[in-house]
Amino acid sequence: MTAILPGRRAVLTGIGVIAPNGVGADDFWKATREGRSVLGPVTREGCEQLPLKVAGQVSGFDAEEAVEGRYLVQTDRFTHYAMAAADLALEDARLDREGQPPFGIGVVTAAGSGGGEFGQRELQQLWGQGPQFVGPYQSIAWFYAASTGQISIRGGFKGPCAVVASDEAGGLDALAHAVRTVRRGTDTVVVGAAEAPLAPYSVVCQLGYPELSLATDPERAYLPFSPKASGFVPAEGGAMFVVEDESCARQRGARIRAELAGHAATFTGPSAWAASRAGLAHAIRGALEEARCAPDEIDVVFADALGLPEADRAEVLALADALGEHAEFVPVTAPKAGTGRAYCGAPMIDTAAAVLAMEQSLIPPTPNVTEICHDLDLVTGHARAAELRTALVLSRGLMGSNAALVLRRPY
Amino acid sequence: MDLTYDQLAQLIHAKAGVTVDPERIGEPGIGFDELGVDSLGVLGLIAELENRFGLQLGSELPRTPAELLDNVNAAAMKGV
Repeated sequence: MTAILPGRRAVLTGIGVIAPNGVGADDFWKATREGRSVLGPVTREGCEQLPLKVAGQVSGFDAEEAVEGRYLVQTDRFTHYAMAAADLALEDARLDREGQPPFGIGVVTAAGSGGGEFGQRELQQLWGQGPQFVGPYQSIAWFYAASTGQISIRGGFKGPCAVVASDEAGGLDALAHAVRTVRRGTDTVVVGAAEAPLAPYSVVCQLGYPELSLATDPERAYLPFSPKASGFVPAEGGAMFVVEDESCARQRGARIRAELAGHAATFTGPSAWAASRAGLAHAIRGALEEARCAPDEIDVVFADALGLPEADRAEVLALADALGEHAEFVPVTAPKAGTGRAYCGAPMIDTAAAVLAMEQSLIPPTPNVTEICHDLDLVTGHARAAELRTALVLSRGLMGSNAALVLRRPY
Repeated sequence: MDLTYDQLAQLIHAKAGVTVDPERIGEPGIGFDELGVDSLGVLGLIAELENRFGLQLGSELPRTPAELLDNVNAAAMKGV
C-alpha cells in the first residue's frame, strides 16, 4: 500500500446530485432549502401491489438524455444515476479532462444493493426461458462495482478505483476512501453513491426490514425524532463529487467548496439500535479528532434520522455523548425526511446539502416533522439562517455500520 | 436464411445499445471493437441469433461482423 504523503489535503470541488427532490445541485438545493417533501406513491411497474406504498422516487431524470445508448442497455438504473451525477460533479468542478494525466483521476463509489432492476429482468429470463436467454451484460450490470467501473471506462479515468460495500454508511466511507486516495498521491477522485432500489425485486428484499415504514400517507410515513416515528421511507438517487488535492485544486484555480476534514466509522451489528449509540458516538469522536475539531466548533448536524423511536433516541444520546453540552445547542436537521433514504446515496445527498448549507449560511429544515420528542434543536418548518463553518454528517446502516464526517468551509 | 447488414445493425443496437451504420458493418476487415461492440456484446448477439433461429454458432468468438455472418450462414446450411 502506498504511503500517505505529508501535506496533501483533500478538498471538494464539484457536486453532482440526482435526488428525488431535484436533479442538479441548484434544483436540489432550492427544494431542500424550502423543506419541500416529495415523498409519494411508488409508481414503478410491478411495485403497485406491494405493501410498500410510499417512497422517494427520482423524477425529472431522462436517462436517454443523460447517458449514451450503450449504457442504457448495458447498465442498471443505479449506474445511470451515478454516471449522470458524476457528469454534473465534473462539470461543476470545471475539470478539464483533456489536460489530466490518465492515471491522475480515480473513481470510488459505495453501493448498498447493486442493479436490482436489471438483475430481476435477467433472472426472469433465466427461469422463464432458460440460461441461454440471460444477457451477458447481467454479469456486470447488477454487480455492486458496476458504477465505479462504468464511470471509469466512460471517462477514461485510470487512477485508483474502488467500491465500498459497507452498508448505508458506506457513502461516507467512500468519501473517506477518496480522501485517503488523494493523500496517497492521486490528484483527483470522482466519488459518491447512487442507488435505485425501487424495482419489484428490490422492494421485496426490503420488505423484510423491520425498520421499513409501510405507512400509506406520504406526510406521515417518515417522521424522524417525532412521537409518531414509525420507520423510514426508502428512496433512490444519490450524489457524486469531485475530490482533489488542495494544492492541485488551487493551482488550477478551482472553486474549493469544502474541506473533507475528518471521518470515522464503527460497526455495532444489524438492527441493534440501542448499541448504535456507542458506535455512532465513537465515530463522531474519531471524525472530530481527525479534523482536530472541538465539539463546540460543530455548527450544524445532518442527522442519520432513521425514524424509529429507539434508533432516534440512540442518535440523540450519541450526539450528547460525543459533543457534551454542545449537543443541546447545535442545530440538527434531517432533510431526508422529505426525500426518503437512498441507502448509500442518502449520506451523499446529505453531504451535498451540508456543503450548500455552509455556502448559503442556511440550515435547511426537516420536512413533515412538527413535533419533536427528543432533547435536540431540530430545525423544522423553515430554513434557519446561521453562520456555518463546520458541519457534521451522520449515517447509520440497517446492517450495523455507523459513520461520521466532518466538513469545513474553505478559508 | 439470410442475415443482412441492416438486421445485424438492429441487433447490435438492441443487444449492446450501440448504434452502427449498416454500411460500416460491410467494410472489409472491420472488427467489432472498431464498431464499439465489446466481447459481451458479441456474446449477446450470438445468443440472440442462436435463440431466434435455432442455430449452434460454436464457442469461438468472431472478431468481425463478416466472421459472424459466415458462421451464421454456415450453421444455417448445416441445419438444412
